[in-house]
Amino acid sequence: MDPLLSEFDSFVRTRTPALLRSAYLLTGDQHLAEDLVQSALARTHRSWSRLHDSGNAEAYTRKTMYHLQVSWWRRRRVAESMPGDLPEPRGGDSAPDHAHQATLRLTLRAALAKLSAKQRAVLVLRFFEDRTEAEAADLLGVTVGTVKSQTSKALAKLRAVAPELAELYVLEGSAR
Amino acid sequence: MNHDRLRLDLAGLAEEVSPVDLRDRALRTSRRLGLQRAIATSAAAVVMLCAATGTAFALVPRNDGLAPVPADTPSVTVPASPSGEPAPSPSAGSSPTATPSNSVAPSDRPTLVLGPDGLGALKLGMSKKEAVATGMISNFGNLDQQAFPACPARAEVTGDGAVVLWSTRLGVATIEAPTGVKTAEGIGVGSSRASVRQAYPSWRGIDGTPPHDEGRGLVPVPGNPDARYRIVVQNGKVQSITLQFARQDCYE
Repeated sequence: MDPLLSEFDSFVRTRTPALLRSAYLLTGDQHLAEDLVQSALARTHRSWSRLHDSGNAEAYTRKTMYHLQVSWWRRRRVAESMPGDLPEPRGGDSAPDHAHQATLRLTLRAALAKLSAKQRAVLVLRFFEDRTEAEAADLLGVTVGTVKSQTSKALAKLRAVAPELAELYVLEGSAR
Repeated sequence: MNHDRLRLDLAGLAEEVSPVDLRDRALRTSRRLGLQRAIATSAAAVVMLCAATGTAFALVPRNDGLAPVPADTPSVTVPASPSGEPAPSPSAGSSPTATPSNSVAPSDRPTLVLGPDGLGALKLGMSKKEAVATGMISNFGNLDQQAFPACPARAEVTGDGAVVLWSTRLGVATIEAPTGVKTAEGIGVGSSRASVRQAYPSWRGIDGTPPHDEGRGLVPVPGNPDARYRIVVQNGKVQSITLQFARQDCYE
């Protein structure tokens, strides 16, 4: 077998699960996540001969993925397309039992769907991938200032569209 | 907001995705991207050869690497660039801002139709200048070279945010339907999956795979063999529909 192809195969098989997790948070949908990762991997493959020994292949794939998702999608698309209704908040009882966790996840999912693609991307980069502001800016091809402003807009929007979520986050935060 | 809690919840949400093997799909897409580039290069070579030798126009094999439609027309691949025609000037009917806003209907552009060759006055193949002259687009931006090597620029349909992409080679290469605008076959954002299947029975996954129920698909455009509709279905509804050249080189 072509050694380059077998290296690429191994890259794909080891990195796809992690790429899919990020793509799922970016898109909120299994199929769209698969399509996004597939597109990014295809571009990675086109450049594989120069990427394979650079140690930077994953950075290239991720950068491509974020650009594909953010840079040309229309701004309102995500919000328009998602099932918009937030689950009913469960009043009073804030015990983190299993069902409650599941409800919270649904709430977060629906709330993320209300964000723009860019806001969503900065949240995923900063709070899921734990990137610094500078790293996030580089991956998105924007300035650090944009990352900061989009992050605070994204958090504000989360608070606005899912107050029960924000309350919980704040309460638990202050209880520490 | 407690960011640790947000981190935890994001991580939990991310675990919902099912792992799949994307190796074969990625390689197929990669091959198609390579093919598009090769065709672009050979088409350019043919044109240069014709110019150099004065021979009649050679037929470039029509192979866009897209499975959904048989290559049933011998018509050739040079995009219809309306170079001989004056750029359409904005007219009251085609400019979104000039549309009378006497209805509170979801669509403020009831007369616009997507396809078969454009969106109103905005046509596939237009140069950026021609496209701007339609008065229909704004919010220009550059695209990242790594993700979009052949498509340097984007713009939006004014007042909506539907995306238009330029390819260096093809001019306007993709035009997304603004909210409320439908194709001649009646499909627009929000149409059900069933109505897509009815209008476009050959709707398939983007890489020619058998019918997707969700995700991105392509269908031929009735009345324009050089174009495709790219239809994205999510949660059973059309999330976006884009008119694009069959040989567009911007994505996928």
